[in-house]
Amino acid sequence: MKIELLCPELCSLYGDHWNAKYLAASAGGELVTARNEVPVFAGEPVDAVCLGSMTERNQVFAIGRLLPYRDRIRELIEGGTVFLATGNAMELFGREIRDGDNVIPGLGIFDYTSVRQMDDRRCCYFLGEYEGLEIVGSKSQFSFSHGTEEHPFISVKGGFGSDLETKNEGFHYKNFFGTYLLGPFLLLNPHFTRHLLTVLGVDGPIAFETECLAAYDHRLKELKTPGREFLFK
Amino acid sequence: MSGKSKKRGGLRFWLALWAAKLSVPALKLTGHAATNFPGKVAMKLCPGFLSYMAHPETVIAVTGTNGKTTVANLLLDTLEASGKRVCGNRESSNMYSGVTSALLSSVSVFNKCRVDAEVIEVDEHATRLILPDMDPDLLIVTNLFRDSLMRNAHAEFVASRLDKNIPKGLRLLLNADDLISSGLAPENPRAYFGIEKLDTDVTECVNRINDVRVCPKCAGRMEFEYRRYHHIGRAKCVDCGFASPDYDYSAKVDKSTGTMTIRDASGAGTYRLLSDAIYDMYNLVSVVGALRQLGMSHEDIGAALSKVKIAGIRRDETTIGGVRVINQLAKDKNSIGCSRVFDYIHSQPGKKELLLMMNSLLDEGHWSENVCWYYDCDYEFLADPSVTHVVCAGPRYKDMKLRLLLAGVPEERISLERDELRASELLYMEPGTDVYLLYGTDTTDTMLQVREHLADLKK
Repeated sequence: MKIELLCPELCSLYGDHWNAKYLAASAGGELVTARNEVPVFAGEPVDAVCLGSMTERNQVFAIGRLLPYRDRIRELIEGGTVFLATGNAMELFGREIRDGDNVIPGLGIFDYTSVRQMDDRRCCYFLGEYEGLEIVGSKSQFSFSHGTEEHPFISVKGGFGSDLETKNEGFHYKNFFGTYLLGPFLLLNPHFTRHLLTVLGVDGPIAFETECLAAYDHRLKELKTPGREFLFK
Repeated sequence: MSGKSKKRGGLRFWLALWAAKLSVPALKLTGHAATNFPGKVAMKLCPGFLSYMAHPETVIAVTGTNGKTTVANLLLDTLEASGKRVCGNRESSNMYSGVTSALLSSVSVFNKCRVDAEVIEVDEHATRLILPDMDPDLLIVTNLFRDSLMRNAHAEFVASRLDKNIPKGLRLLLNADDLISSGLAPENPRAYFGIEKLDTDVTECVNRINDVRVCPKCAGRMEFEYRRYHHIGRAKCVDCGFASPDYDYSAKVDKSTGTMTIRDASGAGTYRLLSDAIYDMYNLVSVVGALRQLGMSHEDIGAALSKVKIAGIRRDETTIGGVRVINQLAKDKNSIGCSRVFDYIHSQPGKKELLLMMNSLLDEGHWSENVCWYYDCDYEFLADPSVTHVVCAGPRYKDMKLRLLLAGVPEERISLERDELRASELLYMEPGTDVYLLYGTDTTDTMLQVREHLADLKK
């Protein structure tokens, strides 16, 4: 089993790269990254692809690097390969990113649009649900995505969604999971990680399952404390 | 009125000055610390208060991710040791209200400036209001790294804010070995400091965080001539030629003598190292560079610096029951700050035992604190066999254990206890093994209690 960490030189914020590492460790698979600017998935089969948060400047560079492989990405997603895009990595797969008058064309795999406002960052802690699994984490967004409602990933219980109006967070299509939740999403959400392993056809415990669940339960309890606030400004 | 002020104060200013000054003894009488409140009073009554206040001929501002408190305090101490009357925000925050509170004592009730120099530490975001109002002579930017995610997002974002906030014409002293902050406000006059190649330097990054993996101009490959840690070092883009700037204050370190020789266009001076930590070497060269910018001679700077040391609260040591106990600030939410400390500890000779208390304690009860920074931080240094025991304490203790396990620290070397005092009782405290108490900005008081508790246990 191969788990590709995509564009690690560009997408390295907030510890998001741990998702690929942790998935590989839990699945007993191999973590692979490109030796040059050509993604591994372009030349050989991979089972999952992880892409993490990046700076706004690096979003432009990353789109430039992945654009030649747009058809291959679409083919992989349609074929059921697992994709996990955390933080603003999700925006790359949409139609475009608007930043004032500047419009950055995305990969155009999906039809949503992201709107960036560098002077109005929104942060929150997050509690949500995906197929009965409680999802926890945190978000910090300069931008929001619109048009994700048709294929929502997580329903919001605390915090905000893909944009400030929706009660849905992220984008889910086949085995593509895009979410603005930041950082070591899979480590923070051991039940979801187990779900991903099932999707990948792997049975058995996740890495450091006991400790991961203990930290998750502790956090979940905090987030479910009555009167808990989620927005952080 | 003596001293310089940007604007002439009207009735609002005088009311604000007197009310703020009066609030200081009032707070003391009622048993409250006069930290930020007087500044808040002044700001409320007179927005832009600092622009009306008289300031001395020399005003230095210090900002950046790491080292700004140390650099500002060292500058204050050094200037004071050279006979200057100084004022700065040692005791209050680095936001507008804290700076205002601190500087109130530098003027009389008639707004007459009573000091020769002001040195203020400024939060990166607070530069927006403080720099235009105070009009400093020099701004030192120590470095720019990732910091608290919730406050600062990422280093590029903070750099873009500073670019907007730095007033035109303000003289800058920048770190040439930091490819992020060295490019700030390119139109402003500037000088660069840096440290020449060390025998401990590498070319590849051994840290989790490296924010200059690709060229910031063209996304090309960066080639490092030498690298200290993370993105700090000298580099060049192999594609477009973008490169680190040359040093105006170039430091050559001699660890065998514990000294650093700093050269500039008009001379050189040799200085005693304040500590053997690389970040303190950068702090020292930036201080000397700033004082040279003010026109002080190397001899005078050296004489004054020989009388000062780094404030004890950030790093201090004592002996308890025959065991060397070191308390070390490892700022919570700041992965680079903690990584530097972990790296330093792992590189020290002998065995070490650690109590980790970096938990963003004040966030507990309000927020399930974001732990992304744990995963940006180099906990891997603690997997070194010389680190014989790590005790995790505080509200995030379970997250910390998971991170340590992922870093390769064997489970049998990890102990867990939520309560910090009880956690300290789990320390082995064996003579010959140094004990490090690592605490965050929120847990300074807790660290002091823990140290006292350890001493009580050994009585």
